[in-house]
Amino acid sequence: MTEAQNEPAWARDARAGSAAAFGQLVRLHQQALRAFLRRLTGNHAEADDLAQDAFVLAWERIGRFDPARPFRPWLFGIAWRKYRERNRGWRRLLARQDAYAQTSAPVDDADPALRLDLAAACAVLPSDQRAVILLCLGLDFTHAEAAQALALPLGTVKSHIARGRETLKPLLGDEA
Amino acid sequence: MKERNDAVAAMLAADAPAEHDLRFEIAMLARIAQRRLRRGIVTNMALAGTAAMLLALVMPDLEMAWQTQLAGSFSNGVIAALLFALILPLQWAMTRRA
Repeated sequence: MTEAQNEPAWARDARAGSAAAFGQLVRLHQQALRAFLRRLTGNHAEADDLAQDAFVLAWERIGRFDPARPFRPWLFGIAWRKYRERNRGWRRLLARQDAYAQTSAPVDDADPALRLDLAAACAVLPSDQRAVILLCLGLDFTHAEAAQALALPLGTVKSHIARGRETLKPLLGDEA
Repeated sequence: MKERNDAVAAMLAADAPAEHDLRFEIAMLARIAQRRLRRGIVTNMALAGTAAMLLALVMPDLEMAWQTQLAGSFSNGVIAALLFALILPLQWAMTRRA
């Protein structure tokens, strides 16, 4: 049995108060969660701090977790809210950044932005769109899971993916 | 519906930490322990304060009962054991999830 297959049992045990089971969940998800937050924040130390906060809060609120649903979107949802809370003071800056990103022309073949790598291109996406792209295209989340984690309507998730794919088209390879 | 893209997955993987990062796990466990300790201290202080206030309120009645009934029936040791038996499970229940 793989670790991912054990996840529902670990989540149930953790909900019943097992610290060992919660430790297994941390081991299973810390890498993906930290990679996701590193791409969101652009800062490893801040991302790791946020990830720790998210795991601590998840442990404290594990009683509210619905074991009938997958654990991963619930955990990433906590991390996403933590990220948003921390950036609340920077809301105006982010809004300006998002507005700039939306008015910028999409990358095309003739654009010098082609020289930017995918990471740099991702970094200028609006934060919601960037999170959706990272979860769905990078971490194999379904649209429904991403909608749950980011507390967005399903239609918004789909439109974020379509816009993100369009913006990143030259950098995503043939499969995009 | 899933629509994984290898380029995005590779970008995330390039920036990902190790699959097993003991330092991160220990730091996280320490943070949980710190919060638990802080909450335990607050809970115990609140319990102790409440118990002290209640005891101060009922002390005259207790004193009377002690003088008239209990002093002849129980030894000090038995009363202390009874008090411990009452308080310890209560304290354990209050701090179990703290």
